[in-house]
Amino acid sequence: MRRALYAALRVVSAFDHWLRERLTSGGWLVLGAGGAAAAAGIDVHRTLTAQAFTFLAALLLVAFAGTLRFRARVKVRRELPRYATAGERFIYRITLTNGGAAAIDGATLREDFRDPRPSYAEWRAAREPGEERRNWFDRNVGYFRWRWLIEQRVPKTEGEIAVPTTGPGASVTLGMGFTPRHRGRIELTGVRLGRADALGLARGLVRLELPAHVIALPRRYRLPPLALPGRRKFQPGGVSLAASVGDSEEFFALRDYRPGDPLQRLHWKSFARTGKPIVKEFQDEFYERHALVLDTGRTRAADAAFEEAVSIAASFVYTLDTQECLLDLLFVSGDGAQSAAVRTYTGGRGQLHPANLLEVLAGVAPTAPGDFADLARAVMARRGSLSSLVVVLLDWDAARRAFVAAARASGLQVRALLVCSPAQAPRDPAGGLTVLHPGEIERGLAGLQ
Amino acid sequence: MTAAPPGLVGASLLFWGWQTGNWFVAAALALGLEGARRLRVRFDLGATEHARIADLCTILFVASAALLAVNRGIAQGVLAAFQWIPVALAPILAAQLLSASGRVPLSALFRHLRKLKRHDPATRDPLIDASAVYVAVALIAAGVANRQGSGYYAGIVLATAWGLWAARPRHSRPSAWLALLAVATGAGYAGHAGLEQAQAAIENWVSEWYLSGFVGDPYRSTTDIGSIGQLKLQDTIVLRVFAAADDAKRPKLLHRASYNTYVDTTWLARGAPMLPVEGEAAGLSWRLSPAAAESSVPIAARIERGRLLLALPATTVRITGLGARALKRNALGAVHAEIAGDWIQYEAESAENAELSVAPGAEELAVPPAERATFVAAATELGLQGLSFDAARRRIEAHFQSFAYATWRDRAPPAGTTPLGEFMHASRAGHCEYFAAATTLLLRAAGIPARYATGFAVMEYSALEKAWVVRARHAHAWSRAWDGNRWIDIDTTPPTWFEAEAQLAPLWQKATDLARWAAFRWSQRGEVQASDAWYVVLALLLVILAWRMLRGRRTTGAASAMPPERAWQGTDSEFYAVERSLATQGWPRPDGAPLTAWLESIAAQLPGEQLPAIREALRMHQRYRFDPRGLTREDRLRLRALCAAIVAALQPRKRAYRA
Repeated sequence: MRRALYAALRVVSAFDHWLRERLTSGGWLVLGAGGAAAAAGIDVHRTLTAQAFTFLAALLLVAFAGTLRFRARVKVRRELPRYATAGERFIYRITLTNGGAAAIDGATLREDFRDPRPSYAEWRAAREPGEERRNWFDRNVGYFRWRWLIEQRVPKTEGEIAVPTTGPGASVTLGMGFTPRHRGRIELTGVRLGRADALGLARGLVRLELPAHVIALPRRYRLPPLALPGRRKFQPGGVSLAASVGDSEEFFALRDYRPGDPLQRLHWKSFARTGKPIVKEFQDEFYERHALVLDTGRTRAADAAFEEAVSIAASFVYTLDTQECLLDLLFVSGDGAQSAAVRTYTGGRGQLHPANLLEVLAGVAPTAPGDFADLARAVMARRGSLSSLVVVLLDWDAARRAFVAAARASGLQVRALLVCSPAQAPRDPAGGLTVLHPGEIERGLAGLQ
Repeated sequence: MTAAPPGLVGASLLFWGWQTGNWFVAAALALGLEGARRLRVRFDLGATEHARIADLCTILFVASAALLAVNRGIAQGVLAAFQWIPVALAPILAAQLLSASGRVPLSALFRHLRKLKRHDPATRDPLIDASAVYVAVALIAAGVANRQGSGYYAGIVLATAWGLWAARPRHSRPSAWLALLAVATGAGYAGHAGLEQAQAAIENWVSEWYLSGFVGDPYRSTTDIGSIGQLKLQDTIVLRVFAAADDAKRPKLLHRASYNTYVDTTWLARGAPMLPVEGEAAGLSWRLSPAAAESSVPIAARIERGRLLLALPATTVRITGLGARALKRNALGAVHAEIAGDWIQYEAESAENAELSVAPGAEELAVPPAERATFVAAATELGLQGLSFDAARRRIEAHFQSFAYATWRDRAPPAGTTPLGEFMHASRAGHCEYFAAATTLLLRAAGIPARYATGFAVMEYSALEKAWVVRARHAHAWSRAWDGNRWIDIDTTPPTWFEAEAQLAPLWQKATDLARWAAFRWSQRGEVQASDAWYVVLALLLVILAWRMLRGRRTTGAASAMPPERAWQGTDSEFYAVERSLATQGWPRPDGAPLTAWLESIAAQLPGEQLPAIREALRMHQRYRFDPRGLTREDRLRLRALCAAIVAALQPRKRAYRA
């Protein structure tokens, strides 16, 4: 039954897409009016609206036939930046060259994206935000979930872009744009040149294959200025590939004292001058190293809380000043056939740039909730080199509570954030746990210290 | 959304008025809505006001649909309400045309969108132009009026062509546009002609959907003689005869039509045109015979499509209580009424010796050539020639007693045999049409004038309804024979036919009968009507509502394509007059150029004596425009005076320059 429903949704979705591509606003009006006329004229003895229906249906058929004449030989070049950001408008340029013998007049241009229809497993596993409030029928048929999934996968486009009249051999450059609704890879398959028929009801199409992709980075929130707590820890072997690794303790700069700084490093003159402890900083392998741990354990497919957790992680990656420290991003990932494993990416001090870490976060997907134990083990194994820990959690069960407690017990400064709906919020959150709710993340983050 | 070109809304409303006959309302609406386009008065209506107006329209429409459904039945009521939908939706369009934005927020039309917006204010709520949709609604509503003729199709084509022409793409060539429209017009016409034929064919096959047979055709009765398979039987109650359960005098056969000519399994009424009957007592009483009434029976009949072949006792002299638009009858006793409603009640007054139909002619003795051999041989075999009417009748009735009743037929008659021939010689079984047709032709072969009669058998008493109910499957056929003075009903169908057909009734018939009875009782209630006073109160309420909604929201100026702009401080500065004055004299300000930069660029060309004043005015203008504290009253007056002086000083120069 569900398979049949899925198949029906696929077919309806394809038909809807087919109509949306081809009908102009006038065409939609004729289609809607024709449908209403057919409904009112089901009995030809009672009303005459069947006459309107047959005329409007004939108009649409004739218009579709009229679109078959549309031909265009064009070359298209797309100048596409590499990154976009979810929720923010992304602009780029397309240059179109008319390679035909006739001018192109009255045409419009639009991007084609990869088929966004979810697989059966994705459709079954996903839950749209607020789905629990829908009625029994909607929850079981899953139409709204289907629509939500498709919307997530297709960026918000700006409709048909009018192409100025382009003579034979002439080129025209158009500003295009779209707004990604969701982080991840956006696949563009090509562009579609359309032109309305003489009646202005249907659009003839010419498709041009032009595959490309854009990485939509996660949405980010503003974070208050954060001084990451932590102590400088000896990094055995130094930072591989770092630009300035060495044993020499060359004087580098002066800075405020932080707990853990050896007293030998105190710059007494400055201390005396300023009245607060100032230490000499040497170029050495004593770094602050922080870990950003992202909990990806979710029984359901990606939902609002999961997305917000990724956005929060992205906000930390983007905001934290990693010039003078290292930031390890740890999460569990299982790509397709591969079994889930803990992934670690290090940013800062000549390692990965924030943009690279954001790109990593753009591809994070939910994993089985049980995989959190592996993540906890991986973090605790490197606690010796870490100064502090930022943990973005999706649940507050015994395993996670134990992990946070163990990390604190080992001397790490832990900043734990829990993302969940208000209904799932723990009644007695332990001290130091910041609870954030989807939709109110920015407000919650503003309270961070 | 697409906008209708000016004039099309009015034209489509007039077309609606022509089709529905509501000329006055259509003209008033057309004038009002087209006039609103030209009015300069505009109101600052927000999403809330538009939503309220749309809700009001919905309430009005639903209330009128409910009222019409109560009065005319659901199907008729809903159709009638659709007919009035342009009136119900007119306030939405009027609000659009009179609003400063010239558009309607989509959320005004969809409550669901409003709900989404309450949850998430970022939900997209575009402003739309509803005029083209309104035109489409008016055109469809015009078709609901069902005014026959080619006017509707022509109107639809013209209105659509008007709209399409106004919105045709820039690259569309008029010849190509015209050719496509012509093809679509032809194809649409052929399409609806084909659709009508297709529906007729479907109705023939699927009579379960449509009780078309009950309307009755006084000229033709297509029988199921020769049809293969199971006879179609419906349980729908079509008549109710109000007589006591033990009333022996109640009519047992209700006659609807008689036919005199048999052609290839179809009975026709030749030489019997339908002639109008004059009504008496304000069209409620219809006299069919001058004889005095001796008894009467009240009958309720179901109406299909506003017309009906009345079921009456054959001895009816007068029909009373029948509010028909027109009544017609033919010489063979068929009485046809044109009447509105779902169910009608009438009283059939009868007299023992009265007769609905006239004496026989030559047709009533004709036996078709294909059947002649069969029936002449049968008449000879039964020895009918020379017998008295009564004796012949008894012998024929006795002959058919050995025949069986059957509603099932599994094969076609063998080649060279007619269905009736096979019935007489081989199968000796069939349903009432076989018996009635065979009896009629046998009587004729014996020299007795006879007709084939159709109507209903009154056989089932309903204790629930305390009336005799007649179902569609009680439709019956029999023979009427002329005994020299009057027509006598001869029904040779075995009496078991009624039981045999009752056994085919579904198990849930009793439950559906209860629902049918409830529906019948519902249809017999009085019509809900509003008095003039109520209409006045309604109109008054609407005026008060409109006044409350529009009060204090009046703005001026024509509608703009975009939402109204924010009122910026200082936009009424007189310095703009200086700018315009300079522009007319050849120093227009380039797009996007700041005022200061522009003035400095033309300073060398300006009259030297005016330059300090212009600069001072500009400084004050900038303060008035951008300083949050604005200007003091004195400075404001100074700015005004300065600008007026500059403009005045520039004028003579202009004249001198031109001279």
